Amino acid sequence: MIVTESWYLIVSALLFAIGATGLLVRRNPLVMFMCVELMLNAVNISFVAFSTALQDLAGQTAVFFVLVVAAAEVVVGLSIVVAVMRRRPSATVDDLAELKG
Amino acid sequence: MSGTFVTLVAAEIERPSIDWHAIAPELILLGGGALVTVIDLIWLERVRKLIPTLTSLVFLVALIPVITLWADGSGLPRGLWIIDENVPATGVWEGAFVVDNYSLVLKGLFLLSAYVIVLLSTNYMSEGDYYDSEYYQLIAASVLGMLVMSSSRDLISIFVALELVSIPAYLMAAWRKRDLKSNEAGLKYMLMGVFASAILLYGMSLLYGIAGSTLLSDIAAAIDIGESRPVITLGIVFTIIGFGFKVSAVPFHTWAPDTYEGAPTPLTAFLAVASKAAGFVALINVVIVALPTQANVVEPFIWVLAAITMTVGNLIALRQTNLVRMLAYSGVAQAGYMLAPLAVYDGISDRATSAVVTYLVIYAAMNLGAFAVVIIAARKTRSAELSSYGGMFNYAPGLTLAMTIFLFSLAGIPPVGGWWAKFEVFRVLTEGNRTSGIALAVIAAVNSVIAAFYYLNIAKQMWFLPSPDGDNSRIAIPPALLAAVGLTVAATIVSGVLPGVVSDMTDFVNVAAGQ
Amino acid sequence: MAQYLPLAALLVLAALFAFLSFVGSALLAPRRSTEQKSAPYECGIIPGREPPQRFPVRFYLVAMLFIVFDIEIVFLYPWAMVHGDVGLFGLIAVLIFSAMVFESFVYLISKGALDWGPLQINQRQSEMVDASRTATSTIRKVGLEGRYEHAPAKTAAASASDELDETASAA
Repeated sequence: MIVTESWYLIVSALLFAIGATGLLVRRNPLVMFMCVELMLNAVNISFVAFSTALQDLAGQTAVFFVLVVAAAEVVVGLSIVVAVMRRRPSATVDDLAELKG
Repeated sequence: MSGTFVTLVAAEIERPSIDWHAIAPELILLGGGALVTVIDLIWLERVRKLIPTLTSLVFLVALIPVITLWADGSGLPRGLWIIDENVPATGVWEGAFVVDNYSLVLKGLFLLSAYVIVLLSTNYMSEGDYYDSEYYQLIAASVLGMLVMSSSRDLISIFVALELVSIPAYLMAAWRKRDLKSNEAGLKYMLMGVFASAILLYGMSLLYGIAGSTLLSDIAAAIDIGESRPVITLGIVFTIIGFGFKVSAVPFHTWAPDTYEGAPTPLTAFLAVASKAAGFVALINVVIVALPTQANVVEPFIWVLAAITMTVGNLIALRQTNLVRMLAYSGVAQAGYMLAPLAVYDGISDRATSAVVTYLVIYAAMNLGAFAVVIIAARKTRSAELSSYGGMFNYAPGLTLAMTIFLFSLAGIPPVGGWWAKFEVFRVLTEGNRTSGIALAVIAAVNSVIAAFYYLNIAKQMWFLPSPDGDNSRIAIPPALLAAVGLTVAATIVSGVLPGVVSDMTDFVNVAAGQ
Repeated sequence: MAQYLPLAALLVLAALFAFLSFVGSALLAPRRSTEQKSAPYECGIIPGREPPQRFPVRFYLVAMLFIVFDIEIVFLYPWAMVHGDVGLFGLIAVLIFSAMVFESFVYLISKGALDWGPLQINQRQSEMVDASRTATSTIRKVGLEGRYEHAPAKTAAASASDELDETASAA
């Protein structure tokens, strides 16, 4: 069985779906973060798969930037979560209902 | 993989000569921001009071090259690299970084809005015992992202610029860290923003896979007119959904009201004006430059977004009792008007771009002004509830008059700015005599009438109703806030009375190909 | 509307996938829960007391800083692969990048983010406090009671005054 690029794309789509579902279903901010990481990594797989298929470097370059931006997002997110947790231990997103849409 | 990497990179590398003038605004902002940080680190307390002034100076200095580039209009469009100085410019620039009239107008808009935001923040931050110098450095970082955004014509740089705009904003939304509301605002904004980025990136990776390049102009060339493949539709829809979060289009607006209410009010102004404008710029870049051939996919999707955004935003704004939340929902509704020209961009992309940018410029002036008044009023009343604005005419007639101007402008009543913005949108919508455009124009007109109710209700509160606690002592307005109100009032009136001033600047030609 | 058909198909597929996953796991996963399995530690140790809920915030801080600085270095990798070809231009570009990263490092040190150990004094003094004050002048001890359970309050105050001296001499 030859593993072509489309296999990677399918894996990427599945990972993305799992991450998105997790983000919508779970209520713990930390787990939601992990789900976002899953989505971003799905994107990375997709970029690299396309990059290999097209013999073009831009896709791999994109992965570098996605990695770094993801790290920055996680750090900022964690610091906000820590700030929330210090005020209110074991908070879930549903508990954050000071403001009502 | 690394083997491919080396062979591809090492093929030909030569030292490019950089067009320093073209990227001077970004460089000044980057260097100035770093310098302010270092100054703050070295002298700490002794310069703490100066940091806002220094930051606003950096914004104004960065504005100089924007103006000189504009004045030197013959050299436009310019890119990041000078390919060959002997070859005269062809008038078309296809690259990842393009400086043309369109991007220069936006850079000016971003820098001036940032200047007003600093004016709004100065008293708020220094009186609240927050970490204030970091706040201004983060604003500078965010504005840098906006400047890069307005010149980006490449998926990667658009993404990086968008994140540079957003990540500091997540932090600033949670700035009042001992306040649960602010924490919540930051967390919600961040989770939704990160989710949006992931969706946007997935769409971008699909677009890259279709076109084999991240350059927007290459993507446009790679997709034929009317070509319809499932993966193209997916890529486009995911990308637009990602931007939809950033510009708070319904149904992706859920973060906006909570974040606006919980965040520090000057930052709310920043999010509602500058950050939203950056999202629109990204959307325009992708739609106009990369997807001119895919109008059959883009237009209906944006049409639906625009229609429900303006309707839902206005209907919810009607029953708000908190002025900041009302402005938040009105901002959502205004985003709907701004999306509308992009729903009929096929064939008239320059006119559509002009209409959106005109709207962005006028919206920035009137909305920043409205937030300035809210901040000033909150200094006395400690509240943003609608009822607390009662009787303001008795003790602050000038402020009431200014707020009335902003409200009339937001409602689109001539002769102040807003009417011209709406007029431009309607003109684009009805230009092609297309059913979809006229239908959207009707929806927008009905919405404008609904919106006038709640805008004028605020004015009624201020002019005719008594103040709730009978406290009619005057409000002391600090000079920074006074300057902010003065600037925005002037901009709002000028753009309404002399619409030519704005429309001359936003009369773009061939945005898609650089100029 | 035909152009949105794939989108609808994807939505249906995604819903189906989520639904099947839940049903599948409910049907296939054996559930034989025992007391040992539901214990916090499966290795057999019975927890004697609740684990401390609050980790010092420094743990998070160091972890977060590590992530950022760790990942920034990724940009050096492509340069390292081709540094011979890009020559001086590449070197200068990387140096500018490194200077920007280094500035944030300086910021961290200056804010005391990397100081480990007992609570340092906050670098941000309120403006009523004169920066030129010395160890022998007033040190506010308000609020120290109860914070240092293991170290006597005197030591903390002494280390704080050392820090003050350093700040004063550096300035």
